[in-house]
Amino acid sequence: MQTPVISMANLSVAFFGRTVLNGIDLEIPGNSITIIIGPSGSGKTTLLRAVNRLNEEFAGCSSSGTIWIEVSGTMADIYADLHLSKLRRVAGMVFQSPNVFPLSIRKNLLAPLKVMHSLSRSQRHERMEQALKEAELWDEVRDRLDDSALTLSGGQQQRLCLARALALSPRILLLDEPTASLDVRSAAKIEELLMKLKERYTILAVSHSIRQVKHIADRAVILSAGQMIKTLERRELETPGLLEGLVDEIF
Amino acid sequence: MNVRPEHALTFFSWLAAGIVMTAVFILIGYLLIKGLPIMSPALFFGDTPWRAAVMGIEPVFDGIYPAVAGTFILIACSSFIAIPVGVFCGIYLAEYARGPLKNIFSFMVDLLSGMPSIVMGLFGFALILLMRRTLYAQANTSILLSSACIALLILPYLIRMTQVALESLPESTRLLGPSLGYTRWQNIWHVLLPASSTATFSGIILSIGRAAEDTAVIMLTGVVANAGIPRALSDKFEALPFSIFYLTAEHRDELELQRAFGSALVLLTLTATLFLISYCIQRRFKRRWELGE
Ligand SMILES: Nc1ncnc2c1ncn2[C@@H]1O[C@H](COP(=O)(O)OP(=O)(O)OP(=O)(O)O)[C@@H](O)[C@H]1O
Ligand SMILES: [Mg+2]
Repeated sequence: MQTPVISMANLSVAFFGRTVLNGIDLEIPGNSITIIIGPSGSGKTTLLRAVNRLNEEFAGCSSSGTIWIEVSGTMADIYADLHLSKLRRVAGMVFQSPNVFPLSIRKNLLAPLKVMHSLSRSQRHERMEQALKEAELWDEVRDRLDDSALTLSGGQQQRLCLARALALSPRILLLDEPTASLDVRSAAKIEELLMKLKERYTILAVSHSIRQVKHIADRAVILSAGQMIKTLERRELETPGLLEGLVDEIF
Repeated sequence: MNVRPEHALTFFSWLAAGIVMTAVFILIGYLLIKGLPIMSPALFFGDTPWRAAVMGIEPVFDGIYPAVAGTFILIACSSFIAIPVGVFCGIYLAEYARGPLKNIFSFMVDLLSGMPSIVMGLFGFALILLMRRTLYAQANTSILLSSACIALLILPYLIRMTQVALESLPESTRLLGPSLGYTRWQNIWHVLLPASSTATFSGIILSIGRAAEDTAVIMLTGVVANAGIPRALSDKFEALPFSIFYLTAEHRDELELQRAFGSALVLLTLTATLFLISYCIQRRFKRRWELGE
């Protein structure tokens, strides 16, 4: 296997002493889509949040084990070698339900850029346009950048969140059920988008849909009650019935 | 739900709202009827020409202008002390304090908000007595002392409103900043405070109102009748609620009682104006956050 971009060793997470993730070992290669699938409450979101250390924002969380991510050619320990703020820019996140700032569409992208980077005004606008184009939202919002982001549809809001993460130039995208609340067409649009984005980013996503996993994943990680049951590579995903059988067992 | 309790609930909600509205209308109406006829430059400046009075060239003896100025300065000074301290205390309680320390601190704030204002005045008065005996023999009650005691009085409102405003933000809003790499302080400053600003400003408005009306604190800490306009923070001062109090308590003729009503109307107008200004600032602030760059 090629050298991984994310590598987890013996990762465990507990909330108030209750174990939620237990001894996860996982290597994720670059420029690929890895999808975590598992029943509700199995720890998928927690696993994503472990990568950008967002679990620490919650009371009662304790974690152990190590995670390395590749930063400019070397593997960096996310606890020891990386500034928290830098880690979270390198690993951009999109939440399970659309989570926009209650601000204008424009400001949703510009505000984080202004806080996080020392860029000139025109550079910020350039980045904003570029990110919106990358998230394939530009054509839909270019004439209404000053409208509130809350006036966008669910799928548009999700792409806005994606654009906001992209504007901060991440390497890794952590996507928590990016198509969960969307209709079939918007979901298909985002799936297509992800296939393009994996050329440039390493994607770790959560999904509930077997169809989606089979359609876009380069590998699937099956999670049940905080344990990693199995990982399936692309060619195993193409074996008819294999993923379905495993999923049937755990649900 | 059964139809009957449904109707009863609706009826009582309407009734309660009606009672409050009526009370407010009667109150304001009564003030207007009693106070409006006396509204004139003479109420404010007595015999002194108003230009000279406003420029501070000639003192005003028989008008409430010095009391208006005193109340205004009092509100400004106490807000200047209490708003930053209160808001930052609220931030500390909501975002930093944890465990037993938070409980102890919260209890203290509750204690402070339960403190009657006369006790706060007594405390200020005792402080001056202590200072006279120890550090500074010339220590005396003044507008600065009153402002400090009033600041103590309004602090709990500011702390609580800020804290509750921050704590009631939804989880998703709290996580957004950190997920983008904001540090804790960046998240508080750029996301959480603006997102909760409406409620925080309500706290500020509430405390301005409280600072404007309190009489007990200032009576023990520096207000006197006929002090004129304070020239320094160490001067004694006049204030509208106190003027209303002594005009009413010691009125000898109908005219003086009318002047008390006039003063009350002026006090109401003053606080209403301050409310309006705070509201406009809040609106502008919110708009700038939502749209500005
Ligand atoms: N902040 C928290 N405090 C306490 N327990 C938590 C917290 N976050 C998650 N948990 C617990 O961890 C377990 C896993 O939660 P997680 O959100 O990772 O599940 P999930 O697989 O993403 O589920 P879903 O598919 O419903 O989103 C759950 O039992 C949940 O109750
Ligand atoms: Mg989840």
